[in-house]
Amino acid sequence: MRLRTLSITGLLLVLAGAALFYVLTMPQRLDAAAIAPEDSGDVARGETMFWAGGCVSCHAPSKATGEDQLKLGGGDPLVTDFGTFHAPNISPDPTDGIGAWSLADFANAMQRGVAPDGSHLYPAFPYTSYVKMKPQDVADLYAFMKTLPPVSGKAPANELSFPFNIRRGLGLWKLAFMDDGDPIVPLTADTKDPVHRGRYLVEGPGHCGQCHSPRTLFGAGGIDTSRWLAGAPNPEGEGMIPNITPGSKEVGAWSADELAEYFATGFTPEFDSVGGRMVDVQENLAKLSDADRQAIAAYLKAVPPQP
Amino acid sequence: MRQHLTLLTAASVAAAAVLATLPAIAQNTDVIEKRQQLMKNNGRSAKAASQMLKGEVAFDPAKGMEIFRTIQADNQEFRTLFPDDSKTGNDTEASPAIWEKKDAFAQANDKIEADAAAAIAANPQTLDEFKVAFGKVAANCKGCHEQFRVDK
Ligand code: HEC
Ligand code: HEC
Ligand code: HEC
Repeated sequence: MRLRTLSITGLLLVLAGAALFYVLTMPQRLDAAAIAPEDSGDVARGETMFWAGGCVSCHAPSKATGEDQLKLGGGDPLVTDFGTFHAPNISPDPTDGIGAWSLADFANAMQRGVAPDGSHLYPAFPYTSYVKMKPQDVADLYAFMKTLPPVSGKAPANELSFPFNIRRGLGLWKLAFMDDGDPIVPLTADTKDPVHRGRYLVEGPGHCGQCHSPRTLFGAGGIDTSRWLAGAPNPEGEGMIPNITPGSKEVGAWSADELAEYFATGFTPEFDSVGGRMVDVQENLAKLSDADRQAIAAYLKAVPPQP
Repeated sequence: MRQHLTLLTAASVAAAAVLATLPAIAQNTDVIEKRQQLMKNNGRSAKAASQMLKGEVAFDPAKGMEIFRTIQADNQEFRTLFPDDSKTGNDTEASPAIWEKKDAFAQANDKIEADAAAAIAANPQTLDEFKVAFGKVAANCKGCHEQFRVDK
């Protein structure tokens, strides 16, 4: 009798735990109102979002140049402490890529990290930054991506260690760390316009903080916004990713024009050249307009200095 | 007993002191400094080229050729300055990949030398020609830094 009560209580507890896990890890999709109308995308404006967003860096092979950069069949393996990620095929191929996705499917992946089947996507895909994109910009990007060449073939599955290999568990990670659409650095209404545009590009599509800010929970958590752009260990191994706030020993001394020049050409004011994973980022930034590069530079001069 | 302890402490302090100086002895900082200096020269070359490209300094074909020759000669020496005892020290930013992927590093060096040789052969006489030739050489800077240099 005693034993039976115990085992029933045990069973109930397990069931309650499982139910709680199930509820807590349910995919949270975007409200319909936060998605632009299906066919409202503008291809030319979408191309700007495409380069600002740096999709090529992860979804095309690293050696791709010219037209091959637009073949988004999947990129080089992303090796991290949690295992190896393979960015999937996001070309418009209807079976192997995302050609059959609606704008709502695309927006939920980009801004909620939820795939069409409701499964969670890993935050190695920087949706915690893309969540700050305007619905119209997501629709424009979607329209541009439809114009790219379809590529057949699926990318390999991720190779992650336990417990990181349990997708459903990402629901808990998101509860704790998913960012919202609000800006990170507060600006007053009288701040000049390029700074606002720069803030949007850096905090949203440009996802600069994903590399340049440290993370909480020993690198496994969300971005530590109290150390915004203060520099961080390189998640893929050797070295550091530099501080890019006005408090940095190096970049702090660069003028806004020098920053914009670095984004355009890859040369620092001392004519050192860009290196590491910033090379891909710089080559994407080189495809933006001068005005956008100046806006990013103006914002970097306006963020709170970090030691 | 007390004396034993003192001796032991002295011995461990001495051992620690030797250990602390070992890496400095073992590492070949001269060679590191030399290769960093050659890279600083590269920076100077790139600056001179950029000043002409931006019109801050008048374009001079002879100066253009000198830039390519300097880059070529500097790199021929640079690639010989990576002995096994120069992996750390003097704030080196050389990536371990230089020693782990020797073939790829050799290819990166071959490429900048070939591109500099091609620029010299093209002997650019106008600013537009110089711009094209320099652009090809300069793409090697980030091409190599992407793989073989780490920020510290
Ligand atoms: C830092 C690397 C990185 C960047 C930059 C990046 N992605 Fe991804 N993306 C990934 C990874 C990794 C995944 C797979 C995540 C997973 O397995 O859950 C992914 C998944 C996706 C998916 C879901 C695909 C599917 O089949 O479920 C879409 C859509 C997507 N990315 C679009 C984009 C777009 C558009 C951009 C540019 C605005 C972009 N990504 C930029 C790494 C990246
Ligand atoms: C994939 C990771 C990654 C992303 C994303 C990224 N960066 Fe970087 N960034 C780096 C690394 C690594 C370096 C060091 C480059 C080097 O070694 O030359 C760097 C260097 C820089 C520097 C020069 C710092 C210095 O001390 O030389 C600036 C400025 C900069 N990044 C700005 C940005 C901006 C603006 C964005 C967003 C549009 C961005 N970065 C996005 C990795 C990244
Ligand atoms: C074949 C590889 C390679 C090529 C090509 C290359 N670099 Fe470097 N560069 C390196 C390495 C490796 C270091 C780090 C050296 C060290 O610290 O030991 C470096 C460091 C530097 C530094 C910092 C020097 C210092 O210590 O202050 C500058 C500046 C620089 N490079 C400029 C350039 C420029 C400009 C070009 C193109 C004209 C270029 N590099 C081409 C590999 C390369």
